[in-house]
Amino acid sequence: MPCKALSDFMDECGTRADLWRALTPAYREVSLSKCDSAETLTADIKMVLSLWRNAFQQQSQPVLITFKVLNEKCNVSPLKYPVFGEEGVKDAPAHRISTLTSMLRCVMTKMVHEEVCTVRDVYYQNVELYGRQRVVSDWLKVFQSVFQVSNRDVFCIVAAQKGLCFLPQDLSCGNLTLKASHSNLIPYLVENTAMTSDWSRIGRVIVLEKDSVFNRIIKSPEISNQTLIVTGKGYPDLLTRRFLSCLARACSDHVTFEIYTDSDPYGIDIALKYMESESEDVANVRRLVYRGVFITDLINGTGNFSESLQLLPMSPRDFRYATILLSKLNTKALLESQATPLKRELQRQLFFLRKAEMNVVPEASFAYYFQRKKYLGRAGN
Amino acid sequence: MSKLFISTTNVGRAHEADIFGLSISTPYTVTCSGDGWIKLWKNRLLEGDLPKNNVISKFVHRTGVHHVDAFHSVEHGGVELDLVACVTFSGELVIYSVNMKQLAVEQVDLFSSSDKQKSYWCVKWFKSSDSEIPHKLLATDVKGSTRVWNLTVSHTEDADSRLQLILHGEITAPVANFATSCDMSPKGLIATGFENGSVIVSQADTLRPVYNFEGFGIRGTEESGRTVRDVKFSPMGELLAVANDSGSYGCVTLYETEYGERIGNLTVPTHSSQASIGSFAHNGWVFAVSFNSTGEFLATCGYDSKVRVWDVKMRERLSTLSLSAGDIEIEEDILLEDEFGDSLKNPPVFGVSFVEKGVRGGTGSDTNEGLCCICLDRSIRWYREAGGI
Repeated sequence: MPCKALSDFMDECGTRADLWRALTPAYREVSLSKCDSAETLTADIKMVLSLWRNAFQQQSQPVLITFKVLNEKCNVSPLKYPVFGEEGVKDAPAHRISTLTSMLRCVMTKMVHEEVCTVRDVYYQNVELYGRQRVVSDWLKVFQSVFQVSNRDVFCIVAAQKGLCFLPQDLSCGNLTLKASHSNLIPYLVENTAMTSDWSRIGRVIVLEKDSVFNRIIKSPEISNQTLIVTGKGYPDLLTRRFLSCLARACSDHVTFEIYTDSDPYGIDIALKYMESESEDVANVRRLVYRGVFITDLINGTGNFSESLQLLPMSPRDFRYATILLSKLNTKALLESQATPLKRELQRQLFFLRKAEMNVVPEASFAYYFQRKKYLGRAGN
Repeated sequence: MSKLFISTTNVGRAHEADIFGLSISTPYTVTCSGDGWIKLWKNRLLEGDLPKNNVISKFVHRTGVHHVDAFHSVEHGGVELDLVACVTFSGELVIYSVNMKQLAVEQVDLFSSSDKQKSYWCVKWFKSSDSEIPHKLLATDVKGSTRVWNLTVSHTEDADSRLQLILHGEITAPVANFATSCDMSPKGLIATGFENGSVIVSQADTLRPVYNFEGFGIRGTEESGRTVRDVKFSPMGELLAVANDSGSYGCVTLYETEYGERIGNLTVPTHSSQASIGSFAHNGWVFAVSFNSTGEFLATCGYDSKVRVWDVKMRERLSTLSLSAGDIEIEEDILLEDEFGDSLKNPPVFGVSFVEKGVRGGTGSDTNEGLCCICLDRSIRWYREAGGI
């Protein structure tokens, strides 16, 4: 094809917009879409990467990457590289596309070598590129949605273990055995992992928001002798939720599941995260019931709380968060016995304009507090 | 001198969740709750009538309702106005028109689109006895401003178009702070109480602040120990009663409104070490205050499960009602503990209001004033002053 001079283009195009269009090269569209099976995933990724490489290096052709996702939450806008004209000024497409390429290559390498690593490991391999650890986990969510795989574990990049559990009895989870009377990291589990233990010696499962409270309570034999204690250290990760979900499925009916969080809107949100199911591979724990720490427990001084206790004021941000959460509660697929205490607690925090952290329960009273709750009402259980 | 109040009737399990708001107008007592309903309990009951058989319920919002205020007035030409304003936990301000004959409660849309964008907290009607001054509606929002509307009633055939709420203006807080309570006096003053313990009194005409009162309670570690929970002008508007926290205690302070002077606190005798630091009216937060029709007496209620009646002039306590969940007449309605087994034996009192003479039915109600209160055991209790029958 003979080369055209700019004057030729100007002769052919009547308007400035036409000239702009004529000078912009055509993009090669590469789609990331459903993968037939987990086994062919590496081959698919390899092909996508090879298509890009050919387009960039050999044909000097710009690429448009599109994502066909099922879940609207993970919707990603198409990526163009390189970008011509004014669009290039607005965005920095090179950064996003290099992140994507790096992530795809990393997933492919790990899958080929069957080498499992954590999200944190991937992030530290190139901190400058990823910027935040969340970028890595967000891309994994996108991959899961795009390739339509049921479990993110197939990518061989898993979340770092965060949750802790303390067991009164040995607990077998698949091939693993978690030792009793020790603080164990919650192990990597697949969905529906079978759990076995001597359930007759476990009376209740207590989920705690704070690991500081967890560390104190495991030292109280009157509680830890018959109680399986779990903490997700703030907002729970996938593994902790999966652990609880498997546990709830395996445990006998007499075992009660209770959750204790800070008495603030974020504590309620954490409790909600444990109860609701966002992703398909974690069943919501329907046996879990929110039992405190209630703001009224602290005001009334239940459990010999410190008399000098000062409750904290609700900030405008807390207030907004609580009202939004209250509206959201009604749309969540929760049992009434799960939603009612959360709603009641949020309403009381708003009405009193006060919140409190669960740490205000003094050391000596923790065991007493949880022990007392055991004998109180059994709503929802 | 002391006053004695006797229980006339009560309702246990009046709502499915905590009852947060109470208001009394001539035809009914209205309550609102976290279950999302408002309930209008008929005031004049015949002998043997049960309150639960004489109630109109209206569902407002699934997030729950925390503030309610009722307005009843017979206008020029015999037009009867029966309105209920309430605020939901989602911040919406909703007004209902009540037709007691047909037992119907219907929502009326009186707000402009800009009014609807705000997130409200407290709502209060002001009934004007001067035909030149319109009735008013006040509502505070979470950012500290107080909106004031004029309620106008035109004498047209069409019932829907005769009511109008016209925005008079907005009192903005000097510092963004949660406006927890408000009230208006017949002398044309508006008081707004804030979460940080201050109370700003403004002129209703110009909406300009004239006084700023600071709480005298003990300061909490986060300077939040002074939250104002209720403000109320006396019926003639000469006094302002302010209920504010003092750490975990509740204080009631009286201010004179002409010169903005603090008159003093209502206090109970105590041997507590707190006495040297600050005095308090209740051994728990005070949630509401209410003047009687003459302004001589003030009723207060608190987290300590007590309702107290005070002589305003002497600033002395005349009566203390200690409430117990077991007071409820119908045994099945007694709620001694909640779903989690937490005791409600001595339920905190979230709202109290004086009931004017002749409002409630029954023996002695025409000659004696009464009291009504709402408690955490989801109950409503009505009392009448003893004697004089």
